[in-house]
Amino acid sequence: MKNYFAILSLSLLYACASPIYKPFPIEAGSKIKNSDVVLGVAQKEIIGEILPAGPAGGGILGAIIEVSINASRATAAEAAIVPVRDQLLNFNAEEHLQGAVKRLVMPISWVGNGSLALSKIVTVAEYDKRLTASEKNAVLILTVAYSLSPDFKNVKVYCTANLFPNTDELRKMQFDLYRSNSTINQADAIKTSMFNALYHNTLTYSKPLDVTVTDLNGAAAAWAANNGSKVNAALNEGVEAIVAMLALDLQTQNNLSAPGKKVEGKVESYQVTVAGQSLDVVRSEKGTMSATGKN
Amino acid sequence: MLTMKKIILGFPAVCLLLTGCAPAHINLVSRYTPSATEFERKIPVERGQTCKVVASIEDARTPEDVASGFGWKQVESKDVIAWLQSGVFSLESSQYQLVRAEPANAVAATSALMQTQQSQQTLNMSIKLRKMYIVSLTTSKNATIVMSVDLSNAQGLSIGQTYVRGTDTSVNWAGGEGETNSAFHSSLEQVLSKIDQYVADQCKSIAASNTL
Repeated sequence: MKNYFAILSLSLLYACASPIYKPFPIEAGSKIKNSDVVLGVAQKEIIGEILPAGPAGGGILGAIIEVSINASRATAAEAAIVPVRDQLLNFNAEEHLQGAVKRLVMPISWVGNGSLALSKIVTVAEYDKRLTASEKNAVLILTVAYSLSPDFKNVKVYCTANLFPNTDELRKMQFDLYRSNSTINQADAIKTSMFNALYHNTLTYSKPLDVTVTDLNGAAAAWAANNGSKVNAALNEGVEAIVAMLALDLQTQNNLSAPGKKVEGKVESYQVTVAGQSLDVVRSEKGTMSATGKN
Repeated sequence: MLTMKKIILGFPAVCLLLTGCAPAHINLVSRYTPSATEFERKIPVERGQTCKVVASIEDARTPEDVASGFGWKQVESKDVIAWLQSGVFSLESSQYQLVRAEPANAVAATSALMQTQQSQQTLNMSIKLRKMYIVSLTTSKNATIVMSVDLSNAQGLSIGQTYVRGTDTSVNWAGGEGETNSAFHSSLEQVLSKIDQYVADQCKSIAASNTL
């Protein structure tokens, strides 16, 4: 139960992020002539993550203590993060993301003449609307969030990527691959549920703070120092890194590339180039990809 | 067996189910009403004060940034400028006098006011809404408002610029309209207090330099 709120909040933020990996089916490449790309970024400023309180004993007193601890942590984090946010007032995450997607994702052959659109509303209802309105063969929906970790010692950038079919042929392919949980043939089902995705993955970037700090305020001050140079650099690299990982994942065969089948993979390593620098990328055995920024 | 803890912690989940038929929109009020404590802390108007501030307010958010959600609900404001104006012009009982202007002709209005009133302390204050949002944080919520304040003289020369931020973090009971409005009210209250202090300081500073 203690994780209920954390899961609820994260699902709202990351549009039901899931560790399940659905590799891009290579045979789909020749069947998709064009795709629209939707970039969903709900937040207006960097998020300070909160570690939900653990069990504080039973009964109503325990519950009240738990909520109080959460409120106290939220208040402390929101107060401490202000210097970082103040330094990021002119940071435009959406602009950086759109630039990276235009450079690295839009040239992929099956995107074709598709368009790129930004959505600040990150809900399944909004995504369903956009999928329904699209006249392209498929819609790639990227939901991105960026934050400071609960101890403020890491800048994090997350991306949940889903490719949804928008032709009968591709919907049939999706159903054949994932018939055990696909709801793609149900008229009243959520169209952009991850169960109906032809491709799905979660990509994470993390950059640790390069100085020793003892508390949230110290960490925030370090990120915000010199007009926020550290946090700006980390976010710029993180945005590029997740899009580079996505482009790599969409175009690379890996040991998990067996759509529709449960395959236990082994950890794989790749490299992506971000701002002229090589960055190590690790694919977990479940398929998710992550990169850690260097100091 | 259901323990009291589970019942308490499950309350928001039940609310989620019950509010399935509730409106998917949260409407924000269009008028700011200062709280009783705000009235009490205000300094009485000093008649004959010479610091006149021609204030204009505009929404400088991008169209994408105006769209805002709280959980699965859309947060909508029919007239955010009216709400901010009613807040800013509730400051008029402080150490300066605010004069309302439209953003497009604020500098001209400042210049005209200076000429007609022969006042050396006539300032133009351009207030811009930069950010306004509410987010869930585990069992809490945070409402934030960020505004930029630019002060210039009657000739349009910049005197100072600052950002003011108001933030309210409180328990998120059910993500409802009332508590959302209350959180934004509290955030705006902080913003107004900071604007009040900033303008008062600038007026004092100008008055001091004029008497030298």
